[in-house]
Amino acid sequence: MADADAFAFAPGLIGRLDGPPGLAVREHTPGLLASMIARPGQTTTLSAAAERAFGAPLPLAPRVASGAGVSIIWSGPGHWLVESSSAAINMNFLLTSCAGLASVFEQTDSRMVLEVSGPRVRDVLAKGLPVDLHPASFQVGYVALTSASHVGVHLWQTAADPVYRIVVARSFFESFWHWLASSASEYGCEIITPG
Amino acid sequence: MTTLNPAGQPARLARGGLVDRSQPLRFSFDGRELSGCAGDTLASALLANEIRLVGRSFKYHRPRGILSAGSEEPNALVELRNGARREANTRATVTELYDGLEARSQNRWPSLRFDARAVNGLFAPLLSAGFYYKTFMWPAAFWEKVYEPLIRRSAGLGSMAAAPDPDSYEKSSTFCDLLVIGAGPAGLMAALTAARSGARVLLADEDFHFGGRCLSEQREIGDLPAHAWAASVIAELASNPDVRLMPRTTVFGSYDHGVFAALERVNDHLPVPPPFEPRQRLWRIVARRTVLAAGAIERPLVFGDNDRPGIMLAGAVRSYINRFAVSPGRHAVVFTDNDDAWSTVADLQGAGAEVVAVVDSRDGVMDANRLRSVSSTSVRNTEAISGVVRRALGGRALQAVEIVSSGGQLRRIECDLLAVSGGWSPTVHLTSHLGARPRWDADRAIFVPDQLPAGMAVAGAANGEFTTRAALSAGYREGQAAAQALGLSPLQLAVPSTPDEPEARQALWRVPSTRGKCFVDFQNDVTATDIELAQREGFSSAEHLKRYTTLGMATDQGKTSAVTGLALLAAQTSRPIGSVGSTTFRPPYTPVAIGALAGHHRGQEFRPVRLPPSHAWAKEQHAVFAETGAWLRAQYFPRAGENDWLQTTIREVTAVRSTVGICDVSTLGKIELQGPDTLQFLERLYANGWQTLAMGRARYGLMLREDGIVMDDGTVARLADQHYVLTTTTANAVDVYQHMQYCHQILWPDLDVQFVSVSEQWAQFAIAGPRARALLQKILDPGQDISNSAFPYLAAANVKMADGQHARLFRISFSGELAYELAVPARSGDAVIRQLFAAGADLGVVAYGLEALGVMRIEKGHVAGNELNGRTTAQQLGLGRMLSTKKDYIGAVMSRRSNLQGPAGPQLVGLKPVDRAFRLASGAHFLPVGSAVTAANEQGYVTSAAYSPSLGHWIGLGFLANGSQRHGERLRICDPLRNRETLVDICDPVFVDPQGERLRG
Repeated sequence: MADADAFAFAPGLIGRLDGPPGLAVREHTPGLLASMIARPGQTTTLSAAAERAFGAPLPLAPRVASGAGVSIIWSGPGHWLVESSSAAINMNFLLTSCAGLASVFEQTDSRMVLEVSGPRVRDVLAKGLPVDLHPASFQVGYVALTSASHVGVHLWQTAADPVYRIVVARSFFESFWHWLASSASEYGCEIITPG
Repeated sequence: MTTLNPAGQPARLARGGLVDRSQPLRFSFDGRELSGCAGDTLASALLANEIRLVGRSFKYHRPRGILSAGSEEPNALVELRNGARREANTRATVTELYDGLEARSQNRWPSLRFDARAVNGLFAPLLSAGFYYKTFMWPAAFWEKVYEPLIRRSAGLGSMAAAPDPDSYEKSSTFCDLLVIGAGPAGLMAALTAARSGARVLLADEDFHFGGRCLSEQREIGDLPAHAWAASVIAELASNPDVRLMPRTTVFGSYDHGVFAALERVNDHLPVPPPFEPRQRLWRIVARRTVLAAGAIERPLVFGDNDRPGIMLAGAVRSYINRFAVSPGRHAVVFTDNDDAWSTVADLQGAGAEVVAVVDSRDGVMDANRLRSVSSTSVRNTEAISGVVRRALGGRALQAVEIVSSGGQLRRIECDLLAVSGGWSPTVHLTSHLGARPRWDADRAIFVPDQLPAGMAVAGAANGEFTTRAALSAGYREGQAAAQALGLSPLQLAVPSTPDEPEARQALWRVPSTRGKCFVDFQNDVTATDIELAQREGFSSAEHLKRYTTLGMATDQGKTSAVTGLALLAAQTSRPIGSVGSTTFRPPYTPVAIGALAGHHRGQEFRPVRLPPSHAWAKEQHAVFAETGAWLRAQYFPRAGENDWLQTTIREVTAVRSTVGICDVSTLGKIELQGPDTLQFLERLYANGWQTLAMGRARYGLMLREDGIVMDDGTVARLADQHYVLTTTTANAVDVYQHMQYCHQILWPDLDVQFVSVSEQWAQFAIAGPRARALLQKILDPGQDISNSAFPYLAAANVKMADGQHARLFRISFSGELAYELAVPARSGDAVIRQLFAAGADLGVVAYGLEALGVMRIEKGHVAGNELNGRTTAQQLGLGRMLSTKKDYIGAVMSRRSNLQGPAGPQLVGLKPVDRAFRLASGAHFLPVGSAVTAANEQGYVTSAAYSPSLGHWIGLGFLANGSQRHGERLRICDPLRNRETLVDICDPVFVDPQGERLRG
């Protein structure tokens, strides 16, 4: 069994090194993460407000809606995760845009966000995610709220290559990373410096 | 393919087969150096070297050989590999040969050829059915010390590796439109049809070579030899990106909703897995449709000494000849009750063996034409006998058979191979894992699938469609049906033509008037006599029979014996087999290593661990960690020169009570609430009132379950008019959140309140001790007034740190000291704890862990997990005054149940040992002084105990009947588990600062 210390989350290569890595991992540090919960009966109005504010209506199914520098990720009925890399879309902006329509809770530090890609990304994720990521079932903009190797994760696809974002509770990250790294080591894994 | 006979493999055929003679592989058996070929199993390689004695049986230590060529093998079990990788009970018939393979026979001493325990055979009358129950019944005390070790030593099979498994295992999920289980003619045809129709197909087979019986029979499919037809289909499937081919993969379990479990032996065919690769992979397969094409298993025949090495299933004989290019014997007899086995004659003759006789138990099937039609070269040397083999002769190897012809004539024929066939049983296991039982087809003497799990179809031999033609048609039929059901347009395919195959059969369950042991279950040494005995003793239900005789309970799960066992039971009780029933099949189909079921989750990775934000810092401080639920928390922070946890804890407590200490309390559940009805929600959720909680204030809260028992405690702080944040205990964080969701979604969906867990968002540090304020002032913005008047006990506010960062500050105390909890965004947690210690160095700041936290809360009489144990009420905990009488809330009614009231119930008390040097421990019971240590005299128990540095001796908390009225009373506490007892004085549960002056200071 691999030594856990061999799986430090630091830029570099892990596992098999002969050939191109099967998995590429990059930490994505969002400027803002927030939980947004609609007030009763306000979802339609909120969606219109979101479209005005972010350029994207609220997804009402497990999908992600993207505007300029912002993604609104379905998190359950009437519940969304807002991820923003835009300085303009901050907590104050959210509180103002959603005033009276939704409650907003800052979660920026609560989760680690990884971007995973590479030729074997589906094979790696299959080792823990009980979700069918085949293009026939899961495409760009699809969201899954599930678990990976007993750790709760929020996952969505951002590019057809495919590229996925995986969101993990901060306290669980080390265990999650040990699983991901050991699952990927068979194919080689490159950890890319956050850009 | 070369026609050379590789050196040292005397029974290897010069040509034919699917082994690669140009790739010799070295291996050893019982230390003997041997060689085989790529494509061999261990069993075929042993046979190529004319090794036919490979093991000793479970109970009688009888010499055993190789019965089958597949996963049903009951006899040829070996110990494979060495050292930490040693694995017992490995079936040689499915072990793919690799260069350097090491195998040993097992269950023999001192050697395979001479086994001292074979003497068990002489005591067979004592080892009959149920012998465990009869022989080892008395005296009971002997079971653990004498009988069990004795049985384990003399019975049993191989031995386990003593060291941890050095290899890794993993789990994976995959999804498909159609799962095809088994890659024989039916499975290949189903997969091909569905794949061409556009389905996502997964084809799995336990063998390392796809093709099933196509590899083992000399048959033609279309214009090709069967194995070549299979190869062409496999090649097409492999080129289809929507088809996943999974050789070496046993689908071993069928579950609800089209979920299957499978074991992929990724690297079992190598001495050591390549770097970073797992040894085995456990698959969870989710399939919209399934075609079970698992084939069939041939039944041995029951006659005297039918377990001698050299007696082999006829189908296996053909496998060894046609697939592995090995002749399993030179002078053969075929014994059958069906047509199918007759093809063995031609195959044996083609391999250069002499077929001395064919013995067919059926009446009137014997004629020269039949013999001529199946015998390819010559019938001159083969005698067709209508009759039965009564007994096999020979010890470690078959030497001859005794034959009784239908005319009653007894014959003895010398031979070294007896090919037997009692017909084939469909492999229906996966159809019945969800509880359905197969149906008995009396005409053909087989169990066939009856009710099927939703989405499953069965094709080929598994469905009783035995001939190649029937199997191909069935595969096509079910491939089309699956495509149709999936909403695809099924493609029309021509089913390839195949020659006629005779398939008549007339089951012979047991040869009459035998001599010697007639084995039914080879692996567990269960004989026909055992079944008869069991029935006579009253075990005439199939399930009872199985358990009493252990028939079908070995690692092979009765694959070659279960049907015969039932048939014998039916005959014995004069019932039709169909009414005797069948035993149910359960997963796994074949044994699965525990390591594969654990996958990634072993050792440190056994389960996910949560790390608080200060973890890296605490590690640098050499903290000792404790698992509390999923969290890994600092238990104490030992310093050089400290001998044990107690010494360290005393230092930490003393420092907090005299200077200042810091503890990471981020693990507490933190739930933020907003919305106009938040206050109303809290009022209904908690037992105490919130109407008067002002903005910028926090309050202790008590939550009951619906049954009136205390669920959790914590604090609620009001940050803004409609913005609250509550905390839960670490242990109940998830339960409380679930409870709140339930209350909101189910009970009060009309309340306009929104809440979410922010436990992960905030790193939270308790800063406690007389110098806590001084420390905080050093790291907060200088404009932030935290003086006692501006920020009194139970104040709560958003604050600014000296570096401009925003934080939340709560004046809450668990230790009883002047204390704060500072919450900062989690990413800053590591930086902030370092900042706190840098700032507090000249104030004498210390880190304190769970132990010190626990000591201080006991000194203060605060209840925690030991007291909030899901059985205690607010009154019992001394918190009765918190229960509001002005409102309704969850648990209000049930908490007023009369039997939870009244003085006789247990109440929280403190206790001090009369002998101040006595070390208290929780779990001891209160008894009146002088009374006997009986349950009737018990008056309560000790829940928590700690050494109090403030008092200089051990103290405890406990529940005592009418305890609040008994302060000052002297009682005895007894701990029968640890055999300790002492006298204690009952006191108020608050030991330190009962007026709470310190925390308000």
